[in-house]
Amino acid sequence: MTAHAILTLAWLLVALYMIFIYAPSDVNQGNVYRIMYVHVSSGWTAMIAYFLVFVGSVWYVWKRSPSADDMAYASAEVGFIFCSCLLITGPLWAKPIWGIWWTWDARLTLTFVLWLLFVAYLLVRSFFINPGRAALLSAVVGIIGFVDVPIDYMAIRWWRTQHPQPVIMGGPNSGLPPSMEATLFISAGAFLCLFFYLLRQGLRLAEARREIGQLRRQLSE
Amino acid sequence: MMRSLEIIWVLFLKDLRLEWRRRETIASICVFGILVVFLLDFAFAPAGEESLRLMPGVLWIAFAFAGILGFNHSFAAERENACLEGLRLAPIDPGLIYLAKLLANFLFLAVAEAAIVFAASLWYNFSFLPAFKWFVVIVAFGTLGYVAVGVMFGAVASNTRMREVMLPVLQFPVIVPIFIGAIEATTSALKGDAPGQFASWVRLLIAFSVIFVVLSFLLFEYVLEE
Amino acid sequence: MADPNNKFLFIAYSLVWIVFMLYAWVLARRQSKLKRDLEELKSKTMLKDTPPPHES
Repeated sequence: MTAHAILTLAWLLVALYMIFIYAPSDVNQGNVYRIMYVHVSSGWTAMIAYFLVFVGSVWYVWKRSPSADDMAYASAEVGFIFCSCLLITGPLWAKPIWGIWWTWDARLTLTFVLWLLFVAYLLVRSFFINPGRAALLSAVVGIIGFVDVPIDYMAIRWWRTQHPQPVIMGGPNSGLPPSMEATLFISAGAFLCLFFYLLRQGLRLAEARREIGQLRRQLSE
Repeated sequence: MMRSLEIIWVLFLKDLRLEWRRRETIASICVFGILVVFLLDFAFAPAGEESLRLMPGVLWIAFAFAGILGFNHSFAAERENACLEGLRLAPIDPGLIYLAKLLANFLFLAVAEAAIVFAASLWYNFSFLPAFKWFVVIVAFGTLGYVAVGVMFGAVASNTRMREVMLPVLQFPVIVPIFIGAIEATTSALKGDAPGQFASWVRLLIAFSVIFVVLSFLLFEYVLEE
Repeated sequence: MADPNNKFLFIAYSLVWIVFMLYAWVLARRQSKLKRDLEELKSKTMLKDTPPPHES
């Protein structure tokens, strides 16, 4: 774990350097565009996180392995953090550039839906009356949520093409100069590294919790 | 196959019979839906053309809230008398229980929707007749998809504390496409557009309904599992 | 650079930083609580396994 921690820190520092020193200023947006590096990196990480929630959920329903449930839950929690960062950085980038904090364009709407899916999964977990069933039922929620994502994507895209927005989200990936592209990939990698580090921490905590549960049961016998 | 249909029918009749005795669910969702229509009429006081613009939103908001109320009721009753446990022990495919509940809730919500549409037509001076056929198709598939998700998450939420809140929280992200599709299609149909204009939205509604009915049918046994 | 938008850049990165620091703090708290529970349970188990000193 220490090695992972050091790798994560180093990678983040490299990314930080590239974001603020190596990457040039944008011709149109000045310096504020640099929010994009953290924003897009969070986005990709959040999506991968939700995919892992789905994988963990399916695996749990199929094999009932506690580690599967651990992975689903840990991914949901860390994914929620990254998705929240996504929703925080987005408006902070939008306000100076578009003049508005929020708009219901396709991408933002989808991001909000993804965030809600994380919230739903986590809330269901924390409100279970019988924790023994929490794993299986959350897995069901995770699966349904994931199936929903592509449908949401299609529906929201169609919806927004019906009502073209005055603001066009010319995505940051539409033709980035190589230095910016490199910075973006390094940043995304750093965030993913951080995600997996936090995920593994979550898994360790879950295992410790189970060990404690077992000890408690032994004691009461 | 016939046996499965029989089982679904029996369970469906059970829910209907239970409802008929106290009529709590249908009464409350009708009243609630009509209340929403009424309040929105007050809030916006639409005149003439405005009614057309507001109607799809008003209707689907009313349907959405009525639905949530209905789904919560549906499982609350089961919980009270440990009926779900009884059903679980029966040697039947759990998915059939889901389908029966789906049918029952669809019927209840359909009744409420009829009441809501009637009230809206009256108070907003709006006629649904010109586009009636397509309107019914859109509402039918929109409702089907909504109920498919609602019954599924109603069952999940009934295992949690704060279940009345948990249901809408769970539903919210998942029903986004069906409500987008339903409102878009309804807007288009009521405006008098040719069916070609909203056909793709109707296809979305149908696809959504099919996907979520099948998915819920397959996953329901895990929701019931002890 | 006197770019007025720089404050948004600063706020964005600060908030992200704060969010992760908060999460790290939450995780650390959970870990120490689990550690305490584990220690407590381990000592209880040992007490249970060791016969009391008065018996012979």
